[in-house]
Amino acid sequence: MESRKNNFIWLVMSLLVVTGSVSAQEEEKVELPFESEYKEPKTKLWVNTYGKIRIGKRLFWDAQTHFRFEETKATPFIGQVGQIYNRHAIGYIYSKKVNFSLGGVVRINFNTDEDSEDRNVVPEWRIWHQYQFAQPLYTAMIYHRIRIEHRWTQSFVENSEYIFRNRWRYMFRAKIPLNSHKLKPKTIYVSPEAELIMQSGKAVVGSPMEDLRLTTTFGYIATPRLTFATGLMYSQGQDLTNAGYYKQNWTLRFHMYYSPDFRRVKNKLPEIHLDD
Amino acid sequence: MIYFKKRLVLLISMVFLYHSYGQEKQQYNGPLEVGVYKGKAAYTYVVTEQDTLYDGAFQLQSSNLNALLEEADTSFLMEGRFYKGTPSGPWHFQFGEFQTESESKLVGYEYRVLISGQQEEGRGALSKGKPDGKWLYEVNRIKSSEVETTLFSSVINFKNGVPQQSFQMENDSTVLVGRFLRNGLAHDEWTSYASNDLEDTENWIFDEGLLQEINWTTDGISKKISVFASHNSYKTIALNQGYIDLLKATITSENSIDFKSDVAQLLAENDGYYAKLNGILNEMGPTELTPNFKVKVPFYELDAQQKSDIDQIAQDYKTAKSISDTLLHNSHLNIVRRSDADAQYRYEVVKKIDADFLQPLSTFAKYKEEDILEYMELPKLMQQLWPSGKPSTNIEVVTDSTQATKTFVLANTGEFNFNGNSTKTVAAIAGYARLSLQELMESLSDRLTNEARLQALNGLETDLIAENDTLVSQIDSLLPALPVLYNAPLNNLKKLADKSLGEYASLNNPEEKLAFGNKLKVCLNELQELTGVLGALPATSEEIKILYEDAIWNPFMATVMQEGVKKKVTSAYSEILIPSFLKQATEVDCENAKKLTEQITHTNDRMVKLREEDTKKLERKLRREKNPNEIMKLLHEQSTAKEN
Repeated sequence: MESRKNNFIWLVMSLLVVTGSVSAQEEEKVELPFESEYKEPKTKLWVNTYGKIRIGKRLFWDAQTHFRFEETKATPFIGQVGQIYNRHAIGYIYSKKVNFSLGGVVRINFNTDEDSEDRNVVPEWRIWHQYQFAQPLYTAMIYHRIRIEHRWTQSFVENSEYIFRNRWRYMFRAKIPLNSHKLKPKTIYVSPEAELIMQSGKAVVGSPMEDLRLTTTFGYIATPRLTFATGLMYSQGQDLTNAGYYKQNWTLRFHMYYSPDFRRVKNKLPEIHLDD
Repeated sequence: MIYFKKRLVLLISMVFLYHSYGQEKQQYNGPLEVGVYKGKAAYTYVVTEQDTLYDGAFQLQSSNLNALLEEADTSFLMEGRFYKGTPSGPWHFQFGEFQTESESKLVGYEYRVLISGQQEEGRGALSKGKPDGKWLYEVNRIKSSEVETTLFSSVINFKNGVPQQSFQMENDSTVLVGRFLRNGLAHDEWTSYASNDLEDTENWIFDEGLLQEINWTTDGISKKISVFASHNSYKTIALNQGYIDLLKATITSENSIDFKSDVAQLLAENDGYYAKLNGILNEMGPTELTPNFKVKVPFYELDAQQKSDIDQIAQDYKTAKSISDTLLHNSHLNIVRRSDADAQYRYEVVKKIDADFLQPLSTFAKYKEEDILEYMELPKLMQQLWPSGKPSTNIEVVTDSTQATKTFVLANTGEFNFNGNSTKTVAAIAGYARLSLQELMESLSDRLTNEARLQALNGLETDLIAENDTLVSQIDSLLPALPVLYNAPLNNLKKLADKSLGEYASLNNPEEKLAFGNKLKVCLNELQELTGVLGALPATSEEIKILYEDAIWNPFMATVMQEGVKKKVTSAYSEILIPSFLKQATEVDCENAKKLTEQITHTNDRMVKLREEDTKKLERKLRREKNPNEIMKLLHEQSTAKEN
């Protein structure tokens, strides 16, 4: 308990004074394979909730909680808990099509290595900021999302130190209504998306491509404030310790998007005249 | 004094002399009426053999300043000359319809008012009643005392009543130019083009009066139609409405197209104006002021027997048509037939005879009046009159809503042979129609003579029929566009009206009838109102639905979406009240139609108002309430609570 508290203080301090001393793990010699090697894909299952809660004319609270499972030898996809993930931010609505967010993430990582004798649970910390741009295209909408994360992680090994990395993420996504001419309640839509996650930092020597995620999602807009979606994601990325190895994942994803607005009626209206 | 007497005697004898010299011209100034034109006249005349003949200058005019200032004035001016009773010399006609702009200006010592309206002007010379020289006719639209547009104009050159050289006509859409042979026969190419698009043309190609083909060019696409094929015998006739109808008939039966012609339109317009002038002049003296365009047409001579057949056909048609009109427009029969199956059946037979026999025969009769039957091939004409085949002597009609049919046939049906394509055939058809209608008239007569007794109800019955017709056509035009849920309610209104009329017809006592009829009239009116409200309900409720929507910005989609608000209120309205209204309309009768109409309108109004009001409490109450009457009460309470 004591050590965790220390960790937290240390984290806050290091927001400005960033890592210099955390590279002990990299001392072992890494042998790159002759050809890049793709590992057997893992199967995972994510249940994600996304909240965007209006707290002002231009501000919202971005609250996301994800439950991430992954396979065990006996059970594909949902064998064991992998991470519990909490992402929060304050968002700023610049216009109907453009918004920005800034906030933090705390992720609880569970040790999923069944043979490991290390710690079972470690936290991971991030600061993140995001820039999202939407544009209509015919009946569909397309979205560009730039997300930058400053991330502190540690391994499950007892007393291991945090390493610091920056993540550079760009996601392209479309939402195409299938049974309607626009995205409106009672609409089913299909959403192809591609996200490239690059990373940098002292710990990142030969593996800048952390993850490439290719997803197709089907969603249903139940009300203007509530949407459900489900999809399948394929992802691949370089192993941090050996750039020659590529991890692969197949992930089933289930999403709930909700956007309540607890402001008083008179403050709410007119919603659409943001720029007036 | 003696001197004066002498003078007087001299004067009197001079006046006497003057009178005895009968051919001396006299002047008249005063009111005169020529046809429908009443005005102030000034003319000279002579008296020959007790006959007064216009001779010399003539003028008749009317314009009424008071009428003009008050509302509008119809003015006219006609001036010209007569020679021994016959119009001769230059003539000038003006017909105007004007309004003022109710502003006046003083110029010098005159008040001036600007006028707007329409003026027709005809001008030209007559020689012994026939046009001679150039004749102009023009119709202008006048705005602020200036010509704004020319709606029609024609220029024709005549020589002793015969059109010469070339002519030109135009209205606001078409210009037509053509020429004649010396004897007035249309010749060569008559060209018309649209005044706003010179590319659109219509050409009539004549060869010494015989119209050979018509060419159309519209939007760059050309179409050619040959009109009269060569034939061994021709006849020269006037290019009048009859000729145009002949063209229409010939072209329609040859090419199975709908003949529409800008040229024909212009010629007909021009004929109309000339007929107007000719009519006026003929009131005063023998005149032949006609365009007198001549054309040649194929001639299929009719023998004496055929001519007598045709006369017989026209006669039979006239008789039959008058019976059919009597029966179809008899208001009492119209009511009786709702409760009397036999009357209904006979009425349907009359309707069918009118449609299948008399309509085509009316065209035949028209062609006879226009004297153009001799220029048509009879088989082709028959084909045109009955495109889907000649009618049968067995007249089958649907008598009721169950689609049961009944057949009417004359006892001596064997005497009528509808085969063949001769005048005999048409005569048989016309004869059969006449005899059938006469028989129907006889068998219906007992139900028509009642009318005499019910004279007082006549006007009321006409009203009832008219109200019912309005209701039925209102419903029939609404139904196809409405959701299927509305069929039952609206059909019920129709049935209710029909049933009530039947009930009315079955009453015998005139007093009772009058009382019931008056109530029924009110009811029919109320049913029309209800129909209107129900017909508008889908649109009204959609408007209300949209009214109860807020625009919500969805942050995940970056899209504005519509969100329903006050859902308890809207669902009570759309899921309980509207179905309840429809159900009530399905069972409505004359007693409560008005109440239902009011309920629906009131509820719609309330829904509009409630959008802006605080409805928290109301929504809570509505959550439990499923009874439409209670719901309406709650909606209303909300309004009274607010007002208190």
